[in-house]
Amino acid sequence: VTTEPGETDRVTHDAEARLWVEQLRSGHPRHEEAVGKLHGVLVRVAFDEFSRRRGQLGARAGPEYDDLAQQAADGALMNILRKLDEFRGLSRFTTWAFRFVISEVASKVARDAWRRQPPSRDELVWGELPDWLTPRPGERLEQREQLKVLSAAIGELSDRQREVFVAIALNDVPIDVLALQLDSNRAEMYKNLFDARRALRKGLAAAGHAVVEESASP
Amino acid sequence: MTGRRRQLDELLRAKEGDAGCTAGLEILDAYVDRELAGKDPAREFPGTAIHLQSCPGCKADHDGLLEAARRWLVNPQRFAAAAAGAGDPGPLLALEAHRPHEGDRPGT
Repeated sequence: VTTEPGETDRVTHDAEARLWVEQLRSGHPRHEEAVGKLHGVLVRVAFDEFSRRRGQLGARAGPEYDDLAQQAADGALMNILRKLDEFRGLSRFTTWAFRFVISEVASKVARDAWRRQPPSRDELVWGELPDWLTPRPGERLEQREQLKVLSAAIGELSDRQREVFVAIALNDVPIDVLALQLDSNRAEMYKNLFDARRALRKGLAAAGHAVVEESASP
Repeated sequence: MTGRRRQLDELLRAKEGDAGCTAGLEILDAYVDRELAGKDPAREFPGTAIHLQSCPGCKADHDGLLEAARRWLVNPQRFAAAAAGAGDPGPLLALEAHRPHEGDRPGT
C-alpha cells in the first residue's frame, strides 16, 4: 500500500484539529488551558499582522500595538469559540482560527484609518477622470473617444455604484474604509463595484470601444 | 497590450465566476493551506482565485493569512512560546506526540 504524498500530514493535521476542537469545548478538563494557549497564539498573529499593515495605521507607540493585538485576539477568540462547530476540517485548525484574527485586524486598521482621515467629498463624488486616466496629447483619436465614452458611462451608473466606483477604483479609497463611511460592509461594497465595472464594460462595448479582458496572473 | 488598455482592463476588472467576498472568506483558510502545500488552489476554488485578483480587501486578508500560516509551519515554537506567555514554554496543547518530526513538516 502506498501513501499519497501529503497523506501523513493530513492525518497529523486531523489529529491536531480534533484536539483543538475537543479541548476548546466548554466542559473539557483542559478547556481553560486550551483557550489560554490559543489566545496567546492569536495575540502573536495579531501583532504580526498589525505590523504588516503598520503603513495604514497612524503613528503609535509599542504598547499601543500590544493593546491593539490583545483586543483583536479577544474578538477573534470569541468568534472562534462561538463558531467551533462550523470548523469543517478543510484546513489546519490553526489556519482556520487565524482567519478570524486577520479579519479582526483588518477591521481595526480600517476603523483607525477612517477615524483619522475619512474619505473626502472629492473622493466620493464624480467629477472628471483622474489625471492618470485623462487623454494624453499623443493618443489616437480612438483612445480619446473611448475615455470620453467611459466618462459618460460613469455618469450613468446608479448613485451607489458611481460613489463606490469613484472612491475605490478612481481614488484608491480602501474598501473597508469606504464601507465604514457608507455604513455598509465589504461584501456589499464589492458587489456595487463589480456591478459598476460590468455596466461600464457593457457601455463601452455598446459604443464600439470594448475593453479586451486580459487574463490576470494569479 | 498597451499601457492604456492594461489600465482600463484593470480599472474595469469584473470577471465571470467571481465568488465574491463572503464565499471567498469562508474558504480562505482552505485556499491558503493548498498554497502552502504547493498545490494550485485555483483548481479547487476558481471563484476565489478570480475574486482575489479584484478585491483589495480580501487580497490583503489572504496575504496576511498566508504569512501567518507560513510562520506557523516554519516556526511553531515561536507560537508555543507566545501561547505560554510568561510561563513555561511547554508544548502547545498535548500535540507534540501527534506531530511528526519537525523536519518532516512542509515548509521546513
